[in-house]
Amino acid sequence: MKSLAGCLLGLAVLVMSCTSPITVDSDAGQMTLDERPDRIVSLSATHTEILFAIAADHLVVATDLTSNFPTAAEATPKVDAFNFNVEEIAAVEPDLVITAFNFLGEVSALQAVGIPVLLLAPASNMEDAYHQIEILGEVTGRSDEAANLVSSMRTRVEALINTASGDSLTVFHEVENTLFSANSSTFLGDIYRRLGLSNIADAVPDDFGSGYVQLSEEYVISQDPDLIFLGDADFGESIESIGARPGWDTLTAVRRGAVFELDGDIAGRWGPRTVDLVEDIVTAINSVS
Amino acid sequence: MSIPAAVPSSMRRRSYIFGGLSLMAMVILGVTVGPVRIGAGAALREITDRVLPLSVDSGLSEQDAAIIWQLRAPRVVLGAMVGAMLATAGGAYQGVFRNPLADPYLLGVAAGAGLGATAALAAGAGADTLPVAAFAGAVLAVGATYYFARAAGGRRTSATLILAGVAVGSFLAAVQTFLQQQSSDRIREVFTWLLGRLSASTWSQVVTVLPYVVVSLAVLFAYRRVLDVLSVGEEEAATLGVKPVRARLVIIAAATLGSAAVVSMTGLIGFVGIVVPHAVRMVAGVSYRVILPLSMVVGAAFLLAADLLARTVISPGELPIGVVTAFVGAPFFAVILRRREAS
Repeated sequence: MKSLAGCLLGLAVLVMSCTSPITVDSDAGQMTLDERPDRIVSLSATHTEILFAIAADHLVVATDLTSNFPTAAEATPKVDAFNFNVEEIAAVEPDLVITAFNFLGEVSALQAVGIPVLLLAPASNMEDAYHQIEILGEVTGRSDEAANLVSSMRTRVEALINTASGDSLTVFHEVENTLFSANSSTFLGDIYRRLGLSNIADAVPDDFGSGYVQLSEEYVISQDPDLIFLGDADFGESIESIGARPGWDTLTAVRRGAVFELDGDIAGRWGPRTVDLVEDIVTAINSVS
Repeated sequence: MSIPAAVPSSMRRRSYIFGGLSLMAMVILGVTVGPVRIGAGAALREITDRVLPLSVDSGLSEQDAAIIWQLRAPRVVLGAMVGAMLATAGGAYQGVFRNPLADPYLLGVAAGAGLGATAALAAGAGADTLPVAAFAGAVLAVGATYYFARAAGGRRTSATLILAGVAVGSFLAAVQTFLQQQSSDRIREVFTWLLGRLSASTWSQVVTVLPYVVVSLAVLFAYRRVLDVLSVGEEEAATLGVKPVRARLVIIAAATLGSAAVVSMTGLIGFVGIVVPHAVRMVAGVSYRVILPLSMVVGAAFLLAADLLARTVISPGELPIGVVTAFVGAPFFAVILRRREAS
């Protein structure tokens, strides 16, 4: 009897010392982990940056090829998320995979081989991004670090918004050179909106509701936007290449030099460095107005 | 020698007038219709101001003037050139191979040109080298098609040639796909090119392609009587003083050069080379003296009409023009096949 009580007590202590199940909201439904993961594979550069920023990097065993920041993330073992292969990832024996996309059925493929997946789809505004940081904090046991990161980001972003003088300026954001643009319902578009800019892509019907709409060259030229941001500078677009396009030399933004190249790695992610992006955009706006 | 014309000359004259008027109408619509509303009068005044040695004030803003002259005008000129070239080359191929199905696509010319241009793009070559690279690929394709058709033995029938063309075209297309996969950073550019596009037309493209098209058309027109003679039969042609082998090579080379040059700029735009010459044949008779010049005019009008559809159907978005020509051309092609079966 005495030994049984000891057993029960021992079991209780064991359970207490282990973590209780973790449940978070993933974009593929609720996800529950029985214990804290310590072999995480990140298939998303954004979430790799977040994991490193909240001091959860020691839990990361492999990252996607595009995870190039911070430098330490670049040095982790690599997997290829673009050419997704479930066996390549299973070979790393992860106890959690974090991904931003489910184009190829990554979530069900990984779940089928018993690997838990946390799907955090691209954020559509800063609040979404903050929430994803908090989720990663909860999952990795770094909630305090996550809360600190969010509050410092929030403070800086609000301060930057107050210094921007973008009212009444129009903006064209180029996602790529076939003139896909981002309207105000996208993450970047929401930042432009909060900085007071008026986005020329908002007047174009968004049939798929993706927020990414293709503009015609005629439309961009006729709108003569005050500011042009290039999300495709990494693919070789620049103020020179824009100005060399037929008819674009008549644009006010080209003539005044109000064409700005964004760092594609930062502009395409919704992580800790988004604050630097906001700062770059505010500097650009204030140099024009 | 006199080639019987099954169609009265008044009918031919009317066809020329109809073709010319359609082309004119398409040119005017081409510069006045677009996602941005610009009045037709102002647009035409702007064109007049640029083209004629007159100073006409169009009253347009600088940006709208640029839309007319830098975007729409080169697009219309390039579109007309591409349509004229593909239709004339198609007519010439049909004559020289004595095969109603011959066209730049079925002979593997387009696939060869596509491979040449893709290889150049993948190697990082500039746009002005594309026509040359495309021509090299196209010559390779026609040569291979011709060789395999001959290797099939004495029975060098229409079907043998087309089957050889399809085999060569499929093989070259496979190589092209492989190259695309190898250079995935430029893959998007290649994909949009494959569907055919006029959307990025510039005056510099017009200038790059123009010499090839002019030379090709001039040679084909010079040989249009020879095509009529060849259509009677090789032996008859030889007795009339035409060297059949040499004449064929010159015509094939000219048609291939022109097709490759336009394909290298605008990508794969299908069915023009087969639909237009057949339509022309139906109303204006079987003589290549009529088919070639009329195909040129009607081909230009046809492509501009297709482009007009491509950019208005899902405006402000744009369909690849190759989708429109296939959508209009494939059913038309089926009708032609049925008629030939019936007759």
